[in-house]
Order: sequence, then structure tokens, then C-alpha cells
Amino acid sequence: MKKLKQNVSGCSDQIPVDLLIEIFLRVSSKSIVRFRCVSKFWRSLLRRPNFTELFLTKSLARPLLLFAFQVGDGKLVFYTSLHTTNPNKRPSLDFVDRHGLICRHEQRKTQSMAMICNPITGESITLPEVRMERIDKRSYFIGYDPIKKQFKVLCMTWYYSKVHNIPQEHRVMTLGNGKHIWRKTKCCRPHYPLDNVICFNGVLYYCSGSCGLSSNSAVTMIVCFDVRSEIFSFIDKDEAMSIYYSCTLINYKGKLGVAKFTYGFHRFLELWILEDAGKHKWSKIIYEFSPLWKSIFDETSVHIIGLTGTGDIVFSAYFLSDPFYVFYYNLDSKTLTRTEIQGFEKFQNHRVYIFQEYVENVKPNLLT
Amino acid sequence: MSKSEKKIVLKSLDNEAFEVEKAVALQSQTIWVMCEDKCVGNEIPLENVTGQILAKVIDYCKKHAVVDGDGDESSEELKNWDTEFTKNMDQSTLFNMILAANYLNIKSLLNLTCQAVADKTKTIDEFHTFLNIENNFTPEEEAQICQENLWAFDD
Repeated sequence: MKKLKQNVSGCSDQIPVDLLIEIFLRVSSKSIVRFRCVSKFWRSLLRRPNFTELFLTKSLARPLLLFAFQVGDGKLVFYTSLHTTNPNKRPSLDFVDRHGLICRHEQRKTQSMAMICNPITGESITLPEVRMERIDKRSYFIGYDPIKKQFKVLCMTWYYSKVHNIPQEHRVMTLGNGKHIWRKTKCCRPHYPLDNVICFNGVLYYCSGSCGLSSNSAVTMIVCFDVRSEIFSFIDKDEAMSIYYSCTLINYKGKLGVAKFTYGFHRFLELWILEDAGKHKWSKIIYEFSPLWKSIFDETSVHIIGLTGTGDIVFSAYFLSDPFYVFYYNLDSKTLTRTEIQGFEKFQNHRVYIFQEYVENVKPNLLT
Repeated sequence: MSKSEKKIVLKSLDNEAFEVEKAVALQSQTIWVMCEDKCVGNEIPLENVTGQILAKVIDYCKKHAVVDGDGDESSEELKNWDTEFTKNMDQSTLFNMILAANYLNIKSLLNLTCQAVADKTKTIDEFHTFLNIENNFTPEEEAQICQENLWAFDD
């Protein structure tokens, strides 16, 4: 052992910093957090903005699948895995364990608490409460502005009046600037957000429901929130688009898309692509699944998670089962593959939240 | 082109000479620039690389060279070969391979060897041994930092 040390002694002096960085860019995010405890020099090196920026760029080119689910005593568990459609290559799971969520919101009658957490570094903050005279429900969405490299949280609140939803003022907060203050933001069209949300190219898109009957789950329009300018704009549906809260917003080659399954004797995947936001013009593509795959839909209740950069629609079940699969439908080759995710055996029947474009961000003090 | 012009001699730090095809050697940007500048003859001295390491670098370049009619190796096969190539290298060889790949400016080899180190050194102790890093935190600092990052240490 001593001899080995002697052989390589002086390596750390000899090895140029840019080569060290080349190595660090190839280790897991978890190792980065570990290596920050190695020495003062490594700690400062691995916290430098130019390193964390390079790590982010590399991670953006290869987003991961993130699985999140709640176990006993309110603890949340995260796992990440690489995307793979090669059946011979089983993805390995990397365990990320942390209390908190990317954005976790708990609401009780008089109290509401929202937390934001970066599962990679373990950093988390509790958002200050939005105070209004009357609030029955709140929604929090996180948006990212790639130009200013800034995260913002959009908070929407509303209350029920008999059977109607009455929206109130929206609030915005910038993360990472040292101040956690909600700012009011103006929106000319009162709306009621549904949970479907996606953020790309600095715009947060989400589905809006009717402000009328609160039991109505139909999507009435798509709201766009420009993260940098904080300006809202709206896109109307095509008349033929019948979409509900169960649809999924996707990034279709840089354009906004809406994906949904249609059920019937045959199973279809229906995609609506926004061709021109100004003219509210959409195009529609239908994919039919082979009858061979019908049993998947009959046996499991699946939902669409998103579209990968390689053109695969990712979908999976809402609850963990054994075996547990993630499905990939390739839009070009029209082929369906499934990947078994192992390691969840002990968490059967838990509700699982899956994010298919998860990017590892090792920046320190991202939120505060 | 005559046969001799297609060959080139690489000379290591410890004066070991390797005769290789020019197409093989030119994967190194450093050698390519040297040849372009005509600042060297047919013998190229490589002052930073030992013969033991240079032999391995040449093995790699031979496998990856696209020589006339010899470039039909499938990418899958090449990948498997790469994995085998670094699999049994000890840390000190890998480290010297990284330095050599960097000096010779062979991007794909640098990528391969850095990835191999990253894959092999999963724990802090392995990195300590590999890079002979001295932990210069005070015990108090170390305790605090480890407490902050406790979650990253359980597998």
C-alpha cells in the first residue's frame, strides 16, 4: 500500500487542474458532493461556478429519469436512472435520499407549506407563505430562465365560491438572490391552473381549466409564462382538441406539444403540436399501437411522462409494482420497448412520480 | 508515396523507438502539428511519455486508425475493445495514460481514460490513494462538512 502511494506520489501536484476537472465531469453527482469533503482545494474547485456550469451542461445533454415516492413518516425517496431502450442493458439505479421534494406542497385547512429541494446537493428551502384574505387552493410551478440562469417560482391561488373557482393575484419569487420575497404579477386573463406543466426555452407552459364549474377537468387553454419578463400570454385550443387534465405537455423539437392516449377498441397516441403560437395554429399526429401491445394498456393504468430528446414518448404506471416498467414509444420507428426498473420491490403499490428530463445540478446555494 | 514515407518513428522518454504507420500516429494532434510544421524528421521524440505507456497508446491508436480497407470494425466491437483495454490497468498506469493522452492530444483516448478513472474511483479513499491527496480540514471542519453531506455517504 505504501509503495503504491510512493509510485503515484506527487500525482496531485503534477496533474493539471483541467485534467482533474475532466475526471470530475465523468463521476456521478453524488460523488461530487462526496469529493467536496476531500480537501479545501477540492471543495473550492468543485464549488466554482465554471465547474458547476460544465457539469450542468453535461447533465443537460443526458437527462435522467427521476423517481420520487413517499415512504413511511412522510420521508421522500428519490432514485435516478439512465434512459435506456436497449433490453440487454439494465439501467442501474442511483439512490438519492433526502427529506423534501423538488417542489413539495402540503396544505392543511389553516396552514400551507411549500418546500423546494435540490435532491442532488440536499439543499432545501421553505417558501414563505402567500397571505391573502381567503385561499382554498394553491399551485406552485418552478420555471427556469436560461439566459439569466435563474429559477423562479410562480404561485397561483384561488378560492371556491359555491361551485365556481375564483382566481386571485399571482405571485412570483426569484430563487438564489438571497431574498425570498413574493412579488405581485399582473395577468389580464383570470385562469385556473391544472397540474400539467412544462418549462423549456425560458417559458413555463401549463394547462388552464375553466373558472366556471370546479368539477370540470377539461383544459380550456394553455397559459405561457415568460420566466424572465414575467409576462403571461395565452394559446387557445384547436376546436377539435378534446384534452383533459390527464394530458401531458411535451417539448416536441422545441415546439409545445400536447400528448394523450385515446382509448377504444384500438389504442392511439394523439399528439397536438403548436405550429404558430400567435395564430393559435395546431397540427395533429395520430399513432396507432399494435394490437400486440394492447395488454399493457389493459393490465396497467399508464400515463405519459414526456418526450425524450431522442424522440421517445415515455410512459409508465402511477403505482409501483413488481416487475415495474418504463415504456418508450419511438415516434420515428413507431416501435414500443419497455425497460424493467429493478430495485423497487420493497416499495410496492406506492404512488410514484416520474420525471424524464431530470438534470443534475451540483451548484451550491442554488436556492438561497 | 514510398513505403518509408508512410512510416514514422516515435521515440519515448527512455529512448525506446516505435515504428508505426503514419495514419496511426497522426491521431495525435500533437504529432500531426509536428509533422505539418516539418520541424521534425522521420523520428519524433516524445519527451513526456515512457516506452511502457507509449506502447499502450500505440495499441490504442492502431485499433482506432482508419487505414485503407481496414476501417470496418463495428462501433460496438470497438467499444468492447476499449472497455477491455482499460479494465485491467492499475491506477498509476491509467493516470499516466491520461497525461499521455493530454500531451499527445488524442481526444477519444483522453475521454476513455478519464471515464475509466471516474468509474473506478467511487469512494473518497480511492481518490485519496490515487491522487495522494492530503486532507487539510481541521477535525471540526471535517465533522461539520460531513454532517452537512451525510446523505451522500450511505449507499
